[in-house]
Amino acid sequence: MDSTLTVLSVLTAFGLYLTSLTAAGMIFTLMLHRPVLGGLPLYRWILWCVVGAVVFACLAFALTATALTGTLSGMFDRAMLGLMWDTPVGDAFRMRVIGLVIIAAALLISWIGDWVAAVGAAVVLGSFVQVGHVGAAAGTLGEIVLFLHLSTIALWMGVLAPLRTLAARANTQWQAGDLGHQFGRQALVLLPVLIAAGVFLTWSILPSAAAVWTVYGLSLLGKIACVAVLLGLGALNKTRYVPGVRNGDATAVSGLRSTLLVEWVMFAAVLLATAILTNAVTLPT
Amino acid sequence: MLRLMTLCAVLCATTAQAHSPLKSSVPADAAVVATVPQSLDMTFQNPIRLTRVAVAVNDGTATDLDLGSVDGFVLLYSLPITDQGAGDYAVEWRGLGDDGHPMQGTFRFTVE
Repeated sequence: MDSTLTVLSVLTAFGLYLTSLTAAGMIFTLMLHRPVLGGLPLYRWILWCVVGAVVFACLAFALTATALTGTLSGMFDRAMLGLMWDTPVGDAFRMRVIGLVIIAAALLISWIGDWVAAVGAAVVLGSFVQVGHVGAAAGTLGEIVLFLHLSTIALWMGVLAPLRTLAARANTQWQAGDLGHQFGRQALVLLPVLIAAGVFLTWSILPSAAAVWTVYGLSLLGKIACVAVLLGLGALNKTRYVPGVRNGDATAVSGLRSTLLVEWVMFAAVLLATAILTNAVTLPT
Repeated sequence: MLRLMTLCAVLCATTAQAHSPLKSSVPADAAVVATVPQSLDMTFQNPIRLTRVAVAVNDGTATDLDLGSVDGFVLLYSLPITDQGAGDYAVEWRGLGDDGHPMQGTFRFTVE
């Protein structure tokens, strides 16, 4: 039973990370690249991600209660849910749902500006900082670094679907070229932040070099390997495919679409590894 | 994928036991005692709210201990235990840390 509940918790956390980060990232993409995003149903995509994130957030909260009872019925145990409500897990859950509601309201109500959706996205990302080992290991600095880390990942994830969709249509390939070019320039700032934050967080969490060979450490290594592949693909896009797309090279368009798909798969692997680290693996002491 | 994750969950369960936040217990893990103790005493490294403590004798059906008097997050627990005679007692506990992390662990002792 415990193994089943653990697998369910990991899958739910994976869904939560995927939908929350994609929603936040697409909002950031909207804010930063609006002129080249014409014709994309970005609001609809974001809203679907928000709906998914709300469902996964509720499920994740309820599944945490199953760990307290050891049975699936713990999901509906009011005493357990009430107990969690008053801990940082409850704080994070409330913050997450409030952030998601802010995003949905900002996108659905026309007079509310997109900047409000960006505030909602920041609140959602901030909710992931409320719980976990980073705060205990590295204090406020660790929480700030984790927030930056999540923001850069979200920004990268958020640009993938718009870029791939724009590249697929002949009449919007110039937009794909411009979006890829603009993102490539931003990446020169984002990537050092992402890498530095990742190194700092890894150094903060792992108690010793020997901890690398524990289940936790090996999962972390798997995650880092996926990030290394992502960095390589990003470099390939920036130096080869995006310039090719801007020059109207059909081979470059095909290459860009393929690498963006692989990047998406790599991000999914990173998030799955993170879900395993946060739900199934005990931090070595 | 599901098989891989199940394998991982099993591996992790082993890891979790190795790093239990339970500091000590009376009777201690693997202890051999002459009589069934009146209470099960558990001391944790950090404040915790126990949510379930189950005792199984000789790998039989587990019986939940009464946690009705438990309130708040504390370091020390002393829970009355029912005398089920001689045998191998397996204790499984679950709880919530004050940082919001669910925790769990097991220990065993033998009554001669």
